[in-house]
Amino acid sequence: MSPQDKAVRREIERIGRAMLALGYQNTHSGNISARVGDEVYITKTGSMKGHLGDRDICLPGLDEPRYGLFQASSETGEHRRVLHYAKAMVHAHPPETTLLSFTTDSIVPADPWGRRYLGRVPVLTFEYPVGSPEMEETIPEVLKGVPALVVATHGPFIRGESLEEAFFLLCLLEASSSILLHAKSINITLPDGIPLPNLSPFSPPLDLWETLDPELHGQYLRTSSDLFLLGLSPFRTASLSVIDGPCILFMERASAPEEFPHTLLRLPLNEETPSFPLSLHREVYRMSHSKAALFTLSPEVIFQSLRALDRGEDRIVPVDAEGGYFYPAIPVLPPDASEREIVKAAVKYKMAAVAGVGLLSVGYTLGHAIHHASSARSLCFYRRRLQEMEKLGTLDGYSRFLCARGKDW
Amino acid sequence: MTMMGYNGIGLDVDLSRGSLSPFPLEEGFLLRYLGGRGLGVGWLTEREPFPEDPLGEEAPLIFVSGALNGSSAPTSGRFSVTCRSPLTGTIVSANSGGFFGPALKRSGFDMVVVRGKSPKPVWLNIQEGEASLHEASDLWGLGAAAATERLRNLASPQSRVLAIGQAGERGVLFASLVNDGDRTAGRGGCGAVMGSKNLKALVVHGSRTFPAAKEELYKAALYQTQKLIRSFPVTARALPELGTPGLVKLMADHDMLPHRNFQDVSHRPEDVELLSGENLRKTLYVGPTGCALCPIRCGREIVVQGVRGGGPEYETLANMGANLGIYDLQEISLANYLCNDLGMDTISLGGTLAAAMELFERGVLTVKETGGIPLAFGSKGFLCRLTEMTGLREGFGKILSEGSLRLARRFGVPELSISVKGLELPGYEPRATTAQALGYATSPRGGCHLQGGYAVSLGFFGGSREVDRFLIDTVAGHVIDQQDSGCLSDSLGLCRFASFSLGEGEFARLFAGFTGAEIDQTELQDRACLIQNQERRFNIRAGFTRRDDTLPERFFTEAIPLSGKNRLIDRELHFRPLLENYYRLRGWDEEGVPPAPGRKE
Repeated sequence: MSPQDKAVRREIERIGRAMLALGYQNTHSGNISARVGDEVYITKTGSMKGHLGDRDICLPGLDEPRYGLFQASSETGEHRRVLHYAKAMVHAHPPETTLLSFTTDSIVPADPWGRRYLGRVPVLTFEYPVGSPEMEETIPEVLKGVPALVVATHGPFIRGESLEEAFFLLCLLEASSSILLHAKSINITLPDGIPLPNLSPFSPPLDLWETLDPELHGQYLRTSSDLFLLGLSPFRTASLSVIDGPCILFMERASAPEEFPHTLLRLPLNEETPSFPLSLHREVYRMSHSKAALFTLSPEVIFQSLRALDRGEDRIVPVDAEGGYFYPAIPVLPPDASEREIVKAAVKYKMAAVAGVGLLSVGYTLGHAIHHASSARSLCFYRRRLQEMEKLGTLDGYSRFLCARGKDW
Repeated sequence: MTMMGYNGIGLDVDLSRGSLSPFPLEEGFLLRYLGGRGLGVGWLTEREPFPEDPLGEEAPLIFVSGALNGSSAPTSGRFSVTCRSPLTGTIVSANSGGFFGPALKRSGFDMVVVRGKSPKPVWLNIQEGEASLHEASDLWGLGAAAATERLRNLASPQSRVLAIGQAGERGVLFASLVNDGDRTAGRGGCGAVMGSKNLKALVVHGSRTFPAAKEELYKAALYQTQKLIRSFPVTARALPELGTPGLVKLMADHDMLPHRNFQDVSHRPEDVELLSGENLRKTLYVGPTGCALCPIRCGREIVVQGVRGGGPEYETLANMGANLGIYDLQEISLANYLCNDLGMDTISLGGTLAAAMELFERGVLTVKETGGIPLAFGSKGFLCRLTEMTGLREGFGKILSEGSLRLARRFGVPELSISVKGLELPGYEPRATTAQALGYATSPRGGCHLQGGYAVSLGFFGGSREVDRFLIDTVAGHVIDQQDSGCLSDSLGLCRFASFSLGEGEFARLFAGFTGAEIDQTELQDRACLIQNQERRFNIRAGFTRRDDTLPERFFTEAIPLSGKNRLIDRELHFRPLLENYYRLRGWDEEGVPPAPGRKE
């Protein structure tokens, strides 16, 4: 087995574990493929994606059939064709996206991240929506024009220039679907046309660490992994930083299990940068005494921030005891707020939501900052479920739970 | 009044008397044994006296269409031939695809029972429900292909022919029956039984149709079945694109491709490449072929030295190639052509040649006995000659024609026959899969992968049903499931490959929809148990005991490197618990004896 062969197998295994950790598969379903040169690597049919090993990854051949076909996934036909023009493809059954596909013929993300990276995601209907020849014909053609599609009632097929990119898009799609489903469940229309931050194209991070401190190394890895496993931000969408004298230690593309590569850069604080979210992180330390900052995209928080925007509200008020105790409110800023305004609000209230875009949380340490992000997700979850109950008529007076301090802020 | 989906009529052919007598098949009997292998077994064990001599005049030879033959169910073109094997002495049901099975059913008979011995060679003609016997003296001595061509000209061009070649005529103990050019009922020597009766061929044609009894149920089952076959990777892509030769590299990759009479599994990668389905596709391959109603089309049509014909299956490549140290696709393909024409089982021939080569390697056999042929493993250029000598029972071929066990016994080294109950093992190393090891030991017809349950597949294309290859404790249950499923495929007339995509639930819906029988999955599985109990009872009557449910000594005593460890099958630690669990789960006593026949088994 060549080093390249080993590397692609290990990456497929990592993606499989990550997918299972998120509950995107029914343990043995879905499939993952990658192309290296003319070689196609694909998961074995019915393999348990959380425990993939060498025997679970087959080589079915790109054009000429190879014996790997005996074991290869039921969707190998689609993968082989797509891999003629892409480097990787994933197919999974993420619950929110799959559920949404029952109700629509396209998924148009309301959040700017989904719109930026995915665009409009077509939902295709097939007479027999599992491994059928019709799917083998259609899916590769459609994926030439869009990075992702969803087979109605079955799940998405997503291509990428790397496995990580395909998985990143899958996670973004699930987050966008989740936001749209939340809106459906309380029957509101989300605002359209939210301006896009200046986001760079996706590229998988290298394993690069500009620190020699093993303790700091561990803190970053744990935080990134916790963000991923707790669902506080989709895969590779979070960013974190701490200040170290005239520099910040900045990690972009965080929210990934520890076994994934991570890049930690030591960057001068006072250098100008046009790219979001690095510019936001720099602004935190220029304007405040905060020692750590975190930018995350929890779908629960994004949904509540969009709802607030739609209703002309400038805050998310906690409904739960702990949320109300720690945070009178999470300020909600409009999507076009300046970085200074965002940082100012976040420093004052420990965190600030930019409607539809994400949540900035600041603190003394990374642990401190992730606690805020985690609390925000929880309190937004309680709010949404209570809002749903009120809509269904099974709860009277949702507003009586709103934290009094928050209302008065 | 019979169930729909059947003729409800069998044909009794007494060759000694030259008589042809249709007989009714009761609905209860059909529902009990279904068709194909089940009905053959049921008839042989319930309705016939025990055949003491498999080649004796009174030993019956039973041809049975599959229960779903005549339907439109995918892969439902398979039929069975049941008798007592002259090679092993066990019961044997050999199974073949092609187009003969449905043609037999459409000709007006569900089964044909042949007994006696004709004073002269004859062939049996069945056209639209009318049967007749015809002299075949001028066909005797012809290969299966030439005989088939002549018979179609004589009977009708649409007729389907099931014939023996010279091997069956001359009593090669592993002679097969050949239909549609390269489809064979290969295992156990049914061809020798047919030859012993001076019956050259069955020729059938008919136009009877069989509408589904419960159309809605049948249509729904058919839809689901077709979709499942077209979406499961093995049946949707691997077999259509590579055929069974595609297994060569997969088996080598899993340390299962035998080498040098199962002495090891060590092949040079470049040799495996030469033998592979991928190489076959690049070199000799012309196009795919398929049996009746088959969407898979795993057959390989090839051209070798300007001759077009059926390409070798995996078993042929493994047993007449890798296991002999021969990796020349052309040489193996030509030998395969010969086997199809002479009518011989390539697994048993390969296993017998492998035993002969090991005897030669040990110096027990020399060129003096072999007629000048150096029988070393890897010897090039002798395969076709040896095949021909065996099929014609000429020279050393006469000894080879009796199979590996008689050969090895003759030279005083019986353990060199890699067989179970005298039937040579197919191309899967049992030390690399405990499930297949148990399958070999318990298969009713001896060392067979198919009636052993093709349990080898549990180790690599089971999907979420996959079972670790070296597991011991719970394997017996999986092997039984596989054997039961295979038994139902054989009885319904479906291809084993369809079972990779389908389960007993689909079988039950198809059968119930087609015949109108009120039967569910569990009841169908009960039939599989009954059929295999009957096979077991037959074998016990034939003198087989627990001692025969074993493996060749080599696998218990010679450890070989497999998946990074030296492995053998430990007789006490591995094999004994496997077998005892198997008996217990089958409901058999500790000697492997099933309970007395009951109303519900």
